[in-house]
Order: sequence, then structure tokens, then C-alpha cells
Amino acid sequence: MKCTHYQKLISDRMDGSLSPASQKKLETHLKTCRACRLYEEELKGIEAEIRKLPAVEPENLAVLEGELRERLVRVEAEKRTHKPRSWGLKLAPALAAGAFLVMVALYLLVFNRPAERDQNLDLASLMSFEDSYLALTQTLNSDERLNEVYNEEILNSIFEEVKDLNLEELTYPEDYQEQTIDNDVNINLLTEKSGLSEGL
Amino acid sequence: MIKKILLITLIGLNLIFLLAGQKASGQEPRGQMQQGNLRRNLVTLRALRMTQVLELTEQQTAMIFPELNRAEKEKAELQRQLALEIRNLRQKIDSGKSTDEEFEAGVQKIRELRHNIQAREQAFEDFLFSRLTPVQKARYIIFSLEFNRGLMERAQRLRQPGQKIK
Repeated sequence: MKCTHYQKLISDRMDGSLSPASQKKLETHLKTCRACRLYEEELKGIEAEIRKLPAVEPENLAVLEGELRERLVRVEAEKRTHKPRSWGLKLAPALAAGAFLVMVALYLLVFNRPAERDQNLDLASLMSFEDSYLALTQTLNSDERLNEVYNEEILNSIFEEVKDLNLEELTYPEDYQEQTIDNDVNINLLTEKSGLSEGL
Repeated sequence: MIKKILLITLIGLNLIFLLAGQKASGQEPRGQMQQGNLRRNLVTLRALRMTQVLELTEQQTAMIFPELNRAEKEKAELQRQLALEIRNLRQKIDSGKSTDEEFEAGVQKIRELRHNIQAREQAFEDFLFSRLTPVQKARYIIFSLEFNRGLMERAQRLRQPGQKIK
């Protein structure tokens, strides 16, 4: 058994609550353990000092209790302010430095790659339809067939939107119907005559 | 009623382009005509989607779309001129025979056209924002970003090597 156990037995013996068997074990231990003998002497000294103090009158107990409570509150407050630093706090500077390095690495990897930088520039121009249109036409100009296919896709998107609007009851001027021929699509955008229903 | 206003406006927009296309057909190559068609269709699609996204009231539609029409007419012409100037500049560079003054004039013209286009676009947006609620303004910003991004992404998708172009 460890000394802490025997020190508890010492305290119990002074209170008069130790069993004979435990007392025998304690006696055996004290013969060989100097630290426990010193502990017992210290406790006996404290007890002797206490016995010298004047007896506390019952009417002073309330005051004493109040003082004890105040002391307890102060001790608890001091414990909170002087709380030992946890591992997390001890490592905080290292963690902060690590986080900073990770952020720098992420910035370099995600935001500062050449290809991504181009896309970020696009984002600024994407706010403007005219800038986007200019960029788009410069892309499509290089390939006539791509231009045609792109235009057809846009027309298909318009068909979808118009279908949702359900505009078939309206009529349209002749020249508006003619203008779509330029797109090599032999249909008119917004009329039933266009074959829109078949096309979709 | 909104549908009618929208439709009349869109027809107006397309007629503008039709006239522009006829005017240009005698003097511009097929590629330029195609660009005219493309712009007309893009603007039509954008107007259709914008109307739905912003959930414009009849009153708003009646005020906004005529101005949209006017702005589009002016910007389309400016963009047509800009495309011509860019093509001319390319030719000057390729030929290697142009003088500094000619380059300078070409660059200046392009910068001026770009500035005018941006100014006209900004003027329309100012007008638009004066007629929209805060929520509609917010929707317009997001809509513009997504629509314009969609245009570029569609082009990139079609240009991918595996993409079949009929």
C-alpha cells in the first residue's frame, strides 16, 4: 500500500475511528516509514494548537460561517483567475503560427494560381453583360461553326423560356418572323406556326 | 399584360437587330451578321430571364423595357463598331505596315468605344436601379453574374475537344 493510504489511517486513528486490524497494519508501517511518522507528528502538533484556541460561542457561529463563505468565494475566484494553462493554451502560439502558414499555403494554392487569376479577372467583367459579350464574341469569332452551334443553343434556351411563358395566343409582325431565317433555323421563335412544339 | 409588354418590347428589340442586320449585310462578312444574330438572341434570352427573376410588376415593366430597348439599340451599334475596330487593329498588326499614328488612332478609337459602351450600360443600370426594390436590385446583381458566367461556360463547354459540334 502507498503512504497516502497510511496517512488516511493516521487521520482516522486521531479521530478514534480506526479498526484494530487497520491499526495493527498502521503500526507495522510506521516502524519502517519515516515520512509517515513525520506526518503523524505534524498532525498531532496541529491538533494540540487547535485545542489551545478558545471555544467558539454558538452565537459567533453565524459570523464564522459568513466569513468562511466569503473566503471560499475569494478562493474560488482566485482559482479561476490563476487557472493553470491547459495544453491548448500552451500550444496556442504554435497553433496560431501553423494556422497562418496553412492560410498562406491555401491562398497560394487556391487564389493565386495563374489559371484561377484569369477566372478572377473574369468575375470582374462578369458583372457587365457588355464586357462578357465582347469576350464571348472574341472567342466565337475564331470558329464559325462554333458560333453557329452556340447560337442554336441560345435559340433553344429562348424556346424553353417562351414555352414557359405560354405566349401562343399572341400574334407577331411578318418581318419579325422573317428575321430568324438568318439563323438557318426554319422556324419562328414565338409562334405556333414555327413548329416550336415539334422542335421541343 | 406583362407578357404583352414584354413581347412587344422583345419584338422591338429584334426588329432593331433586323434593321441593323440588313444595313450591315451589304458591307459586312457573314461572321459579322452571325454576331448580330447572336447578340439579338442573347439579349432576348436575357430580357426573358431577367423579367422572371426580378418578378417585375406591370408598372415596372412598362417603364423599364422601353429604356432597355433604347439602351440596347445604342449599345448594339457601339459593339458592332468595336468589333470592326478590333478586326482592323488585328489586320494592322498582322500586316506590319501600319505607322505608330495609325496604331494610336485605332487604339484610341477602341478605348473610346469601350468607354461609351460601359457608360451606356451604366446609365441603363442606374435607371433600372431607380425603379427596382432593394430585393430586386440584389436579384439583378446575382442574375447578371450567373447569366454572364453561363454565357462563357457554355462557350467553353462547346470548345472542349470531346464536345461534338455537328
